[in-house]
Amino acid sequence: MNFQVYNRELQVGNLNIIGVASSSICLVGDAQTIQLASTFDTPAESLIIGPFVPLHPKI
Amino acid sequence: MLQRTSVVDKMNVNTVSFSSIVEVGDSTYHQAVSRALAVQRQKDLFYGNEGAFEDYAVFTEPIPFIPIIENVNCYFENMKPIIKVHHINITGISSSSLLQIGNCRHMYAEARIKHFRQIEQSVASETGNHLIQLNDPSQLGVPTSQSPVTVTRTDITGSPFSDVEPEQEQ
Repeated sequence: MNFQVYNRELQVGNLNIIGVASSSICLVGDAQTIQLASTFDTPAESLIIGPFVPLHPKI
Repeated sequence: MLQRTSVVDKMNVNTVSFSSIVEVGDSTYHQAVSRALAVQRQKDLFYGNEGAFEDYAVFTEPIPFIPIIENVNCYFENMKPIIKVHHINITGISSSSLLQIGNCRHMYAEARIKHFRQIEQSVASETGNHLIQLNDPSQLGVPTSQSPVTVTRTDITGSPFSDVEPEQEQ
């Protein structure tokens, strides 16, 4: 496969970002490879209804 | 490739936190990892030493990256040598994130987050099927001091928290 890119003029006025979070990247420039991964676990069993039992601590 | 110059006239960043980076200039590698246990409780009760990442699969499970088997011939032609941004305004950069003005050859970042939500029995009750029945809305406005559920040391006796004094109840 041939992949040809012609980068012509790139000029941006204003960048307004509220948040860059959780291993995100805001890049003004070029990059060869970018790999971003995110696992986000909020399963049903994460919702605990009942007494406030603390999570098991670090031993 | 990677021969353009980035030009930013004005940059405004309010907060950079939790191992985040603001970099002006080029780099070859960027690797970042962020792990978080996020606990939300209906009552403001936190112990400070809770939780171990090893207990949850989300922090250890491998993240599969499908390799590119196909041979790709890349050709880049930069007809203008400059990437220009007049003004950048960012309120917050957090949790191993990156703001870079410049080029970077290889970038890798991962985030692993596990959420918990703990809700009082009196306000919500499980109806099975992962559904939650919210009780009378008037109950939601009950001040914590009048709450029918009290969290005391007896709740945690015998647990690893027996010697931990919970934070003062409001």
